Amino acid sequence: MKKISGVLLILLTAAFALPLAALIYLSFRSGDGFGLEQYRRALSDAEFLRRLSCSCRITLLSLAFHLPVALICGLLLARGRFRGRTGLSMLFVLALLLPFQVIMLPVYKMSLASGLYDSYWSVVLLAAFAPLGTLISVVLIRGVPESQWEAASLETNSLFETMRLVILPQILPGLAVLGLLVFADTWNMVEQPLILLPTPEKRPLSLAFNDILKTNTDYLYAGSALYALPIVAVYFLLFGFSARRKIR
Amino acid sequence: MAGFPAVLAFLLIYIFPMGMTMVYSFLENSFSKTPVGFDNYVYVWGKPSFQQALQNTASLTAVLLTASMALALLLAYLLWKHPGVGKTAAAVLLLPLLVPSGAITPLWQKLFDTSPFSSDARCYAAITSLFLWKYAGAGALILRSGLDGIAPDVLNAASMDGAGPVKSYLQVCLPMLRREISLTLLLFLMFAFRIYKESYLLFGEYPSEKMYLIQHYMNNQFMKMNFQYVAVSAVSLATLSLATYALAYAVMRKKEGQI
Repeated sequence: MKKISGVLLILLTAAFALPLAALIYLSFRSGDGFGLEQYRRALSDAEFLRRLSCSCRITLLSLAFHLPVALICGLLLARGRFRGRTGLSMLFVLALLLPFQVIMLPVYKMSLASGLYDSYWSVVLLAAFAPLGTLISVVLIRGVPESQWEAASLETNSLFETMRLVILPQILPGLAVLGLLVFADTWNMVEQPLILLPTPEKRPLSLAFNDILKTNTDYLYAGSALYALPIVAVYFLLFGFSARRKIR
Repeated sequence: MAGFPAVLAFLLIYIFPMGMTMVYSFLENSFSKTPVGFDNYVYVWGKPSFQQALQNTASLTAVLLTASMALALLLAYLLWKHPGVGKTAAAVLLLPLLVPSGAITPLWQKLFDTSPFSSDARCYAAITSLFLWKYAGAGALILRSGLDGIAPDVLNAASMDGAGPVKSYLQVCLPMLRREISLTLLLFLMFAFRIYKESYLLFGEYPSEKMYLIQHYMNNQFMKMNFQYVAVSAVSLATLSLATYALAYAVMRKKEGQI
């Protein structure tokens, strides 16, 4: 019984690894040969590179805003003392649960009214204030014992100092995971740029294989692999980092 | 506190539009702004294409939830029984959650040979397997984390009573995992209501008949500038999602009460 279930686990795990392995294999295939041809084509296509830089710009800008926003909103919801805190938290949960289509139309109209339509900033703002990060940091901040928080408040009046000295060092690993999830979420955005960025040249890589690169399939798999690479690399870096920390 | 402006921005970007969607659904159109009561609802709900989309969304959600929950429970059991392999397996199982859908859909299109003319069964197989690959592993890890909290005494007592490993997993362990099961279910539901992204990437804007979801209907009406119908569909979609969440929550609470 034990043996059978062990084999089953290995088989299932292999099945989960298979798609990425197949993608890597196909990315090295070109014609009837095997080599870097597809990668050479992808990286010499100006359109592909522009899409890649769109994705990088949107994701990095979003992360730069999202992390501080998530921390200060999370702090407010986890430790703030005001009426309606539970109700406010419920609104964050509501925004997380409902799909983008529920707010798509007013967001489109607001982007037109504010002049942000067809600008990266419309997508960046949506990503920066997304509820996911706030809800995760509420959980992280609640994990820090309240007594430590109160002790620090006696030492200094500055919220920033309390955050830096007491909260941040303890939630750093969780914060790294948060960053990773937000990175993945933003890097993978489809519906938002589809509605808000009508100009194909401004669209990120997440849409590339459905519009402008659809006909140009001679580097499809290498392009896909390159698109997946940053997040996979960061994932393994974090994984290795946490493994090393545990050994110490 | 410093958080309030950020919270205000969040409310403006995410919550205010929900209210606006609600308002639009009761207007003649977004240009004349004449209130028309429930006329838009009557019109949209009476449309066969909308009914079809609603039914498709409900069946797809049910299939995705059942399949992913079953696989996650199986994986959690296997990971729990084999802690030695567990660590590497966990790393592999979690990775698909982070891989962007757009990077993997070309492979799925090749594998399932999807096109707008593909049969419904083939489309279902493609989208369900993609969903399982992407999310079942993460769910399994949440369930697995709950299994650590179960005292060995309980399991020993179960095996003394003659329960095999599978029986004790299903009848002793799972009832103790209600927190983890509800969290996993919530996560799967959330991703199931976001499956439009993968459907769009796999099948484009015009999928096969059974794959035509509420979001496709909304997109079509959006392109035709029928914003009031988009709003009605959005309210319907939100109601459907929230009702499903509430139902899941109620079932969990009831189970909790029994124990």
